[in-house]
Amino acid sequence: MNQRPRPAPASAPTAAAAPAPAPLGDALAVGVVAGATWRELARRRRLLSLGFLLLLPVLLLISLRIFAPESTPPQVALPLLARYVYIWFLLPITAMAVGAPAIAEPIAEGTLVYFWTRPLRRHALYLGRILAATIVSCGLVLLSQTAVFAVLLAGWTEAIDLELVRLHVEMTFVTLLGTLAYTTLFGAFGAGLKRPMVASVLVTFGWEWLVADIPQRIQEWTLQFHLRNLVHWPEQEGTQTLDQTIRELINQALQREAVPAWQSVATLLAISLVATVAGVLLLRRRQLDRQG
Amino acid sequence: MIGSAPARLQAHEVGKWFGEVVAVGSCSLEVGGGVIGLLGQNGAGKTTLFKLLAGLITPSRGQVRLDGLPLREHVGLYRRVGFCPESDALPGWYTGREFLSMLVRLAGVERARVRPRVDELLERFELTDAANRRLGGYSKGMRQKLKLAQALAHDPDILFMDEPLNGMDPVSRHQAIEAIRRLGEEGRTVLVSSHILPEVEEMTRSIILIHRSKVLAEGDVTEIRDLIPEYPTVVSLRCPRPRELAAFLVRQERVMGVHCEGEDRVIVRTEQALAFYRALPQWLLDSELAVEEIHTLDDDLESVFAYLTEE
Repeated sequence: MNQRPRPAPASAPTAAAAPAPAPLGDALAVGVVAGATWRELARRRRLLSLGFLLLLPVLLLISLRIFAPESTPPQVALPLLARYVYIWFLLPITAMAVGAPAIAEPIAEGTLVYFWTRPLRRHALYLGRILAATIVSCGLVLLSQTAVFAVLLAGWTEAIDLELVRLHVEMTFVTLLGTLAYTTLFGAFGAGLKRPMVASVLVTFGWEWLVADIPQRIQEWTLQFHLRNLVHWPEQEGTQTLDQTIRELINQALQREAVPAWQSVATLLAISLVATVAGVLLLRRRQLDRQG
Repeated sequence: MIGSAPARLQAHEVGKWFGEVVAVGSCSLEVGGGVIGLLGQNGAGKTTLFKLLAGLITPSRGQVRLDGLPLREHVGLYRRVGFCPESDALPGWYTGREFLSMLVRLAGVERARVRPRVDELLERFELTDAANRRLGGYSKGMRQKLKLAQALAHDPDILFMDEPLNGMDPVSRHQAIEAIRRLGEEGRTVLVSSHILPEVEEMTRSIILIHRSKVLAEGDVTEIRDLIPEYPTVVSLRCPRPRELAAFLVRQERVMGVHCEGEDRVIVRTEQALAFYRALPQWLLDSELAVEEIHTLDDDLESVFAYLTEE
């Protein structure tokens, strides 16, 4: 028997609709979501692993100070750490570990439904979570950098000069902008992709690592390039490596004008903005088909 | 939050398909006020329909409206909506109190009223002792209670409860059933999804039956039962003079068959149970026969479900 005993109403709903209740104010919603996300991130085990990773440069410097204080002066150690440890590796990896799951994880775990069924606009939900993720990733990297600089100050007091202080200040600015750009980018991956971590790894360790050093304009299509472009790298007399010599020769041969710092700042901010808007749009279209 | 009129949820020709798989065929329904059971076997499409109705997924066709407004486009309507999901996934790094406080605040409750409201919910669902424990350590029953608590956190007037009794012990289950019935009696619209018929039967007689992605029936169980002509309703009557009663009843228009069972029981088959029940008092007066007990043997949810789905 397939007939329906009682047909359900077939006409389109026509009753005059009462005005919908207002959603929660954006500032309040972003604040509550960010506060909750901050608490959530602080309790995840992942943060411990990240903390340990970010402690490594500090431990390395302490070891250097104890076992070979003369081998690597601060004028060499800090630029090397800034360029090859922080900008190349720690900054993107921290943003990846915190930013990519910011939206993707509650979707995958099935807990986004609790936010979804509250009267808050989707963009407030997205912004709250991304804001917390950016603050956490930025805070972690800054803590590590500050600890590194503190070790330098304490261990090589007489060797610290203004150039190193400027490098530290510039690196603080780079970390602010870098974590913002990377976290918003990876956060958008989380809103739209099933495996945001894979995409984030491909972008960071594939595209960025391969392209950032190509001496052509294509390198400007990487975050790495713009972040490095914001730092005045100290000249290192007599210690130029073969790699640096080759790069210098290529740069001279290609005769390319330097990209002004303001352009790099604008590019990084624009990437953050575009990634945030894309993330919001992707989340709005999201179907909670896993109920989460 | 209960207003003068119960919240009305309307679905008009709503369908949802994923690729070539039809999860919900074209389905129209309207509910408002009281407890309504959304019934169906596993895989029937009730969870997808539930998500469509709650605005968690967008319909492939048709529209869902709450009091005339599309829920998914007017998120402010969630001030009036409570949702208890089927999945018992909870963010394990929060404590019960933190989790409820956040959700109460996000539902628009003023900061000053959050703590008393959370305390009240924790006490009502017997979670006060576990309030400061991380959710990761909650048992299944406790998770279920917390899910119910968060759904009621902001005193909504329409509630979606997807398999709300899963994992509860018998005492909690009984309490939850009572609580759900009370919510319906208070004038809220409570949509409860379940595949356990006796559970739903304890909460309500009003059902929506979904089978193979389609709404098969909607309304009161007895009324639906009455509209299944292939399976006449079987009524049992206990009386001191069963043979005389059987002889009298067999002559009546709405009676399809009668037989005696045991020493004091008459079993009647009728196509129209409601009309039969209405006419019975007059018949008993006319025949001057006494009946001590009447009950329908197969207008329970399980029978109706089996007849409708032919399974």
